[in-house]
Amino acid sequence: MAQATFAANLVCPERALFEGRATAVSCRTSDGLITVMALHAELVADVVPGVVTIEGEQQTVSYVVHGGFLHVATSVGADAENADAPGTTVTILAGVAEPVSEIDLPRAEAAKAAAEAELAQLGSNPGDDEGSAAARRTALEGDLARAELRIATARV
Amino acid sequence: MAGGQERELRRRIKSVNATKKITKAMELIAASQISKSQARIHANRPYRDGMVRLIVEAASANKSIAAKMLGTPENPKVITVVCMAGDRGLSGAYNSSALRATERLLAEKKATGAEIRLVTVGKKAPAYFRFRGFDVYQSFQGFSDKPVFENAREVAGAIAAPFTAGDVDQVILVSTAYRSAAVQEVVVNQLLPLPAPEEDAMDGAAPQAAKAAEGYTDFEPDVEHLLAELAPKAVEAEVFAALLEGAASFHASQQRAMAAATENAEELARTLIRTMNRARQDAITTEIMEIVGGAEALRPAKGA
Repeated sequence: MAQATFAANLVCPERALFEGRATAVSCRTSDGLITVMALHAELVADVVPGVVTIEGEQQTVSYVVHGGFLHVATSVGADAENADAPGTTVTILAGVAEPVSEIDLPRAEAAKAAAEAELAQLGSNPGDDEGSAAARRTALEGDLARAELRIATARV
Repeated sequence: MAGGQERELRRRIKSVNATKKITKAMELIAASQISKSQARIHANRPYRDGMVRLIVEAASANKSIAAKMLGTPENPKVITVVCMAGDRGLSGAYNSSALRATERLLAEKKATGAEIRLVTVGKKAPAYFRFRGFDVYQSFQGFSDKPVFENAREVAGAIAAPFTAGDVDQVILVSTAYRSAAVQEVVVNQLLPLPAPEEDAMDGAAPQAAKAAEGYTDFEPDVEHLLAELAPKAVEAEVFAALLEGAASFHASQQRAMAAATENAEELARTLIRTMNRARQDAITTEIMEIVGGAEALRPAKGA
């Protein structure tokens, strides 16, 4: 028996990465790993940085997602096109995400090194404006975390 | 003598035509950028709508927390006003309308006695406000033509952090909304606290879905934490959308302004050519009159 499918979307601010039917969507939330299948209960959850896997009917695609939100809605009004096929609409909103196959490993490694170098320097320079240094540190830590996640994912 | 005037006119016609070429080129470039910016607004829409839907859902699930965290503060003491303008001029009223609207808002808020932090985006804004005696708290520039999400994240971080820390009570954004290629208007929106979702739901972002979901949705973590986490992301999304719409509006305004400038240059060149022709004809007529007059004057002397 063919597995039930549902509408799945993975959207970034600049483009929609995935739009189509899927049989299962897995991601990591602050409470742990979760796999959503058709007719899942309605849910709103946060997505912690990690890999999101969308299993389609033909193929399975993985994406690196650097934090975002997961939204599971029923088709009542939410999926007007398929109102006759009761199902689920899963939307993952991600600030930054990319297909695992598109990770640029050398670039990620360079970004990691650059972020580490600047972070080390920030600590040794107490004369800086405190507010802007703190903001810069937060930004750099974000860069570093993203680079490390990309490297870790690409190496698997 | 008269030839001097003709030469002068010829020079002016040349310079007007050179200007016309430049404005025409800018018009064409702006026109090509409009469709690109429009496509980017379109690509951003699913994310923006999704964000609104999440907030609506989270807010409708727990009204008391929503009331605490959303809505307009009654008596904001410190207000951040974000003004979004362009990096470049030659774009008609695009920059000046946003700047003037911000100035009006600043005057209005100052009258209530609130402390104001002015944050600007675009190279044109800081100079305008400094000249008018407003302090610019922070300014961003260099990306208003083709903003990427990273830029929005930077701006959003700078305005959301003081709010989260409790230093700022309200954040208001003045930006230009892109309604269509012909219509752009300056809009004033509250960014933080997140506006109460009733207003958002009426914008057409699937209000039915929100209604259907009410009371049945699970939240992970609980609504309060989720809203706290959602707020900065929602600000990023809003700022990015505003940047994209601003870029599209900028290009549309520039295209219009440059089309008008090209037309003016054409008109000016036409009148100048007429004046030049008349001057040339005058010179020729004068010359002929002089020759004929001279010949006439000489004749009786010859005949005598």
